[in-house]
Amino acid sequence: MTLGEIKEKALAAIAKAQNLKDLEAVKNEFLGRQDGELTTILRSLKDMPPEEKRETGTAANALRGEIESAMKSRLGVLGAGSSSSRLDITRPGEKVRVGHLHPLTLMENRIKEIFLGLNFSIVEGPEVESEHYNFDALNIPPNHPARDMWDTFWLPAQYKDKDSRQLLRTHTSPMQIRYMETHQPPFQIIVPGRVFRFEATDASHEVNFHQVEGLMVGPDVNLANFKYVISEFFNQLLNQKTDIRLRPSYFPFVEPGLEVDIKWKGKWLEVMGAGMVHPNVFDAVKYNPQQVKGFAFGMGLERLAMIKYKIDDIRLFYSGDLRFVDQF
Amino acid sequence: MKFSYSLLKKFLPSLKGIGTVAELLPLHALEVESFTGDMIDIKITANRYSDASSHWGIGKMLSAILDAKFDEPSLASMKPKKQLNRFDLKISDKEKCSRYSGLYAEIKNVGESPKWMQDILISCGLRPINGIVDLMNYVMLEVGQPLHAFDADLVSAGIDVRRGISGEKIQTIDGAEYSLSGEDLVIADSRGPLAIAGIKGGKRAEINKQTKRIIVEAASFEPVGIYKTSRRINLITDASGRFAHGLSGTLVERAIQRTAQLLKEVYGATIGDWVDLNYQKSAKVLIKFDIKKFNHLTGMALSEKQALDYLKRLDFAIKGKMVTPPSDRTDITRFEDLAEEIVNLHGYNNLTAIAPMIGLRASGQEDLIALKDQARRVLTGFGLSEVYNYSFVSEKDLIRYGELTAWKTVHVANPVSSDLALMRPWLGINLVKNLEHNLKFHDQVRIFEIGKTFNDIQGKVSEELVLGMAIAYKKGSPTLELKGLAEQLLERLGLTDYFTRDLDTDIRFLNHGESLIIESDHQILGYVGSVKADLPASGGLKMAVAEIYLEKLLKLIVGEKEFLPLPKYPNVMRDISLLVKSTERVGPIQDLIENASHLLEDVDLVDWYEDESLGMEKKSLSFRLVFRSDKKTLTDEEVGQEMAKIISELKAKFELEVR
Repeated sequence: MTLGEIKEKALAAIAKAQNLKDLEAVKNEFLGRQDGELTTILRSLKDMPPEEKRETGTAANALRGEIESAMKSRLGVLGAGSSSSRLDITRPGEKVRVGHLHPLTLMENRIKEIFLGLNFSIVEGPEVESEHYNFDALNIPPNHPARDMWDTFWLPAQYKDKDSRQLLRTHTSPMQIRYMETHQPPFQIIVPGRVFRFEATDASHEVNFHQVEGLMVGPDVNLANFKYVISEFFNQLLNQKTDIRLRPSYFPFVEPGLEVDIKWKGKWLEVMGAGMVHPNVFDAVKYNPQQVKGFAFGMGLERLAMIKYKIDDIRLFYSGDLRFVDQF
Repeated sequence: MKFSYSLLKKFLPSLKGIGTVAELLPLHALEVESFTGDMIDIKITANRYSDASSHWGIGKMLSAILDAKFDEPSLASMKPKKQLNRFDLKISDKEKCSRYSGLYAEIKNVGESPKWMQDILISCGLRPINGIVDLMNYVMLEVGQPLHAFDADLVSAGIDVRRGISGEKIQTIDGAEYSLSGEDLVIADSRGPLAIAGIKGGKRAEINKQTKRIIVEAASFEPVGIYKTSRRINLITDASGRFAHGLSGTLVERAIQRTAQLLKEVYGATIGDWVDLNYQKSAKVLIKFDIKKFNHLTGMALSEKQALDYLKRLDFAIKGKMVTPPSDRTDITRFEDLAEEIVNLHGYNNLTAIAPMIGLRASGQEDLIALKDQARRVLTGFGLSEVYNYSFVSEKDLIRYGELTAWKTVHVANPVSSDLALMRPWLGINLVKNLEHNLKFHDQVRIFEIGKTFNDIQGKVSEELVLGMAIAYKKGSPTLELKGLAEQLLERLGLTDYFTRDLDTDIRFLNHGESLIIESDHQILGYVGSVKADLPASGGLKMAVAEIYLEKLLKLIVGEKEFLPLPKYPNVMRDISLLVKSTERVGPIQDLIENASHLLEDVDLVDWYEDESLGMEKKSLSFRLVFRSDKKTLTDEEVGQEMAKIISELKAKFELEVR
């Protein structure tokens, strides 16, 4: 066949092709690797004299391009609805490997984001604490049952921090003291972190869990400010106007002391302890309680995550099971 | 603490149902845990045992909340004496016992308590025992003062409140025996201890069926001593719980008067003398109330009258601006305490939220927190999922990975269980367990954790923030993937200058030939390597673990990236295949190539194989070399010269063949 015949036949066959198989046959006939009509001509080029080689070569290559593009456009026409399309776009997309953040990280990140937006800064503190920071400086007297509110893991007596026995912090509140010792008001901070309690584990208790502490101190900080900040926080955290309820409570490092409940699915749930910083705590960090006021609060990350994600067993957070983590 | 609604109603006749109590108390005073039938369980906070651990106290509280009348029972009018006629009574340790009262009475017989009293005891979770013991308990429920009754005929002369004597023993009414120490306080007669003060009565002078004459004891004990003794002998009773929290001395006389009254009214007893020792009224508390200060602290706008009216409802005495709390309110010592009382009664529902007025300052987070965030973003992007593990490990876990003495672990003095007895010295221990667990459900597992590890460094606890990564495949080795991940992570976090070298420290769980230390600026930043496959629990699984010390890393990372101009001239690529001894390692060869030509832009290992066709103990390495000049387009000839130079250097240093 001459190049002209090839062109005519090939283009006609392409136009007639009704499906991928037909096109495939056209391709084999003219462009087939073994004995396609055009392939044969291209292969014979090397034996031609230079003049003819250039001429025929150029024309043959142009024709190949023409046939290929005709096939491509015919394929476009046939392709769409045709089940014999090379790519079945209805097949599942390829699996992309995706890593997941732990739900407690997600919860902590969201909390940090909200408080950054409320002009709070974020700091962290040590998990091994001294009795001084964990209890004494927080107005929790030794040998008083109030201390039993925090079941404590102690380190062996050989470990001391400035003569004070060491323990695994039972709350993030010691960071109130550490921060105030090294900073002057006004300021507002939150302190996320891991805490420990000496207790048997069950669906709602763990030996380690996480808290977020908050502290705002300044010349004119008051309880009404606390109510504002915390309402705003829960509205944003739960993505809806959230009813909150404050109730009297007792923590030695605040006065007045209170607890915060949120209304969730028609029920009041306890989610936070709080209050106005106790003057003895200001004394402990050498602030003048007459000149500064502050509020402090603490909440459990696990509890909030359990409420928000409907998780019914706290132990799942520490299972290391990806069937759990990869849901988030 | 359990309370009886019907007893509360006796004090406060206008109460409208247990439900009202359960609704109002939490909003204005104390949390209610539950209520059913006549029982209401109220959570007494640690500062309110003196006034609120009694029906009297809760009744007063409710009367203030409801602004309703409190029916105070009129008490028998009595005058104490300094000595009982028949008994010597003395306090040897006046510091630990600030008041001791004894009331003498004669009864017809002990018998049973009346049903109304038993009902109230049962509502409050107490078991009726006999007429006298029940009455003691009943008065405690009413007044909040623990009482104890001795059979006077079983008491020898000379009751003394004294320290225990080391080695002294007492058998308590429940039949248990305790050894006492010089730290403990006892009630004793000439024959020995009659009771462990404030904790439990002794068997010897216990009320029994034959008892006709009794001595009722009501006392004030120093709380710390009671707390310590009850912890030491591990005996926590209703009484010890109350005393340990600190009770007002005024409860003693209220309790004695009420007991005398009921002994007479209910049992027709003959009341003898009341002896009251060592009582000194505590100094009157006077607190100045300032309404401006109150409104400043709370953000409320109450008038002085409104505020003080709330305090009056709570029986606070007010003279001008000076306020005195009732004697049993030991928790009220300062202005802020008054403020709390007012806020609680006024109700938080009536507190309006007000946005704080502050000078705006930039807020932010500590660098280390930002670094953790960034690492988490990068690693999830790489397809690793985050796990959280306990901060504890077991001795058994440690032994799996090395001899116990190889670890510098910090023990917990009081672990909850042997599984959680040690602080984790390494994140990897738990991560490897996570891998094993997850391989049951997946063919490949990729995880990371960011958390604190704890080691004993020269006698001090060193707490370190660590990033751990771990990968396992059911088939094949994951170590090079993890190495690549670690390299990419370090680069993404901004560490530009670091190198790796063979693991030389004694990390026993790692396969030393397949592990590397990551180092920068003469500091070990972490390591990456294969977990020993012969670990008893690895089950032949292929696992890799890496750890990076984030605090050290933070100091070394370069924050900002700097732009390099795009290349002006094209690059030239050349592949080279080398046949080397199979023991030869790629690292040194690649290092040599990288440093052999200044025109070399990049070197990559593109193929690696060992095959019988290559001959004994040989392997083939193919590198792709990319050459580029920033001054001109390189010619074939120039690149050829560079290649020749590289090959000759390779041949000089290594035993190899270019294929």
